[in-house]
Amino acid sequence: MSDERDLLIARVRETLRADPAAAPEPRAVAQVLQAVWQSPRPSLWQRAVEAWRGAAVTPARATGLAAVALLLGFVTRGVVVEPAAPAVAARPAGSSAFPAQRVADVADGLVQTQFVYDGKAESVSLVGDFNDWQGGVTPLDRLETGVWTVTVPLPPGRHVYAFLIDGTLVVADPRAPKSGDADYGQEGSVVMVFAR
Amino acid sequence: MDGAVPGDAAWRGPSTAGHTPRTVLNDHTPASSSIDPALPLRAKAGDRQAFAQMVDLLYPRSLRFALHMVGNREDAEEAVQDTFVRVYHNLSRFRDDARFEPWLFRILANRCRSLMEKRRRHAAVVQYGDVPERGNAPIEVAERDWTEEIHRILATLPAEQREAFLLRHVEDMAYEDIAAVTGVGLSALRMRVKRACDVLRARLTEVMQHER
Amino acid sequence: MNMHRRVPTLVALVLASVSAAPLLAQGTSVLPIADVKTRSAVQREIARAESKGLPTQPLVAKAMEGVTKQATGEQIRDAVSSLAKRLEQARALLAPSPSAAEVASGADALRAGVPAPMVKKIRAAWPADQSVVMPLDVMTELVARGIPASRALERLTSLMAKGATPSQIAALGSSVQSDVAAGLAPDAALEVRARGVMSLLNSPAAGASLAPTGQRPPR
Repeated sequence: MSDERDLLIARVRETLRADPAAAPEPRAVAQVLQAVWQSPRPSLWQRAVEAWRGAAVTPARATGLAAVALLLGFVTRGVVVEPAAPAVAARPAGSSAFPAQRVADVADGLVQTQFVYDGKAESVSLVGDFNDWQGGVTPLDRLETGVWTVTVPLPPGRHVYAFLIDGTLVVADPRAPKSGDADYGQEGSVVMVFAR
Repeated sequence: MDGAVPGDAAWRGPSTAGHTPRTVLNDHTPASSSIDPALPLRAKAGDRQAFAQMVDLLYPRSLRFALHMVGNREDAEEAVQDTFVRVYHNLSRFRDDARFEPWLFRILANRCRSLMEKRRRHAAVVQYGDVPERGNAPIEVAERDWTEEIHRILATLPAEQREAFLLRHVEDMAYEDIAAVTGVGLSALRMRVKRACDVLRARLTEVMQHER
Repeated sequence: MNMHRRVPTLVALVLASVSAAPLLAQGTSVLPIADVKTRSAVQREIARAESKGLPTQPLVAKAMEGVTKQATGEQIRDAVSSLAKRLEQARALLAPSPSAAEVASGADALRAGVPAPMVKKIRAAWPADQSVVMPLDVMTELVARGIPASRALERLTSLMAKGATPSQIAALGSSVQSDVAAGLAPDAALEVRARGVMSLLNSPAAGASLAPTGQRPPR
């Protein structure tokens, strides 16, 4: 067998042995030792493992922490979405051909961004990373022409969104590029928000 | 594949034109840092200092193996830490005449397998940690691409082949020791290692040809 | 594209469709996930992230995205936990003190396939006192459009080195996006647009007029 002497395999070997990605953190050993010294004795450990493996074990402490986490996370990300952003007038009617989103009016670092859906529906709302994908929070208004629209203030950057039709059906914006992120087997659309 | 040693061009790999192949290898983690056989015995007798020394010596290899097995740093660190905790609490079961490394790697390999099972759905996205920067941009990209390519190919191998390949070629273990780690027969292990090598060779050659 | 929603068979998930109050202000107990196991798993993941000082809003959004898309509990748990990992990795890559938004952008970049070292490289190429959200997001977008990460990085970092503003970087991402949608090859679109921005940067007066906000001097 030539694998042992194969230069290509030798190079793979050397690459992996010297892999910088596998270099330990400076305090890694100390952390491991701390974990070792603090770990419970075997019988207890076994129980801990079983408890951890068991389904739906939710320590009350975790729930408390989570509540704080949620609040903090919301504040730190700094995303504020007003339903139907009242101060901003929608684009004129009769505009089924206008782009998927239009960007204008910068205020407080947020950029007013308009979304348009042109299709049959009883109700349409905007869902995306900026409103925690909550249906119904950001409804689109129906214009006389039958086109649905809403304008929301968004922080500059790349946002992934979709439309929620009649409260149940999630559809990507047909006029915008797809996000390429298919965590749930369904891509969203992308808007790049920035102050022009 | 007997005798099929790649020529110079192949050796240069995907590093493309202008990049000098590394001749001095920055081998920060030795293939086999065998520990003093007295250490596990002292640890077993309750000597914490000895145990700490063992962790210090074996952590880098363990992390490297775990990272290449599971494909992401956090899981790898978790597997290694978990392994040392288990080792510590099971020292009393360690036979005085046994060798320590195969025992450690047996536990570690098991931890990696459980974690991979848990994370199987994320196998498509393999994230490695931070690679330090060096040199100027084109060389960096080429060198990194080569390492990344190897990571990528490794991740596509069946876990048992990856495991056998890493233990044999990266950890430099004897087949007998790998058999002790995996509980698999020698001929099956050789076959796993060979298959892994075949895939690596084929895919890397493909990449190099594409680059050229 | 599958426009039809899938009916989850394993777990029943309910949708919070009427409440307009911020989800987060109501605490985790209102995470509208009916399946107890999934809800607990998501809550645990969020608590863990919080204890590590990671931003948690992206995790809530990811869980809710699953709920809205009527994903199974398992899909939601997987998506949230892998995002938590990416957030942690992103924070390390963007050290020493990335903002929550930067960490979230870094995690998105990793998800889109931007290699970890490149995330770090982008941080290093941008002034340390300025948010790196836009460069990261544009990198994500370029990669999502099918441009090889190494090419996108090369173009972006050379524009950054020339002192491109966040708006110029964003305009590049947006133009490439439109070009690709119009049928141009992603590589070609990037080349053309990057050259356009570069020529503006080489001509100071024009560069200034293109950049109404976020102006910064060349490094």
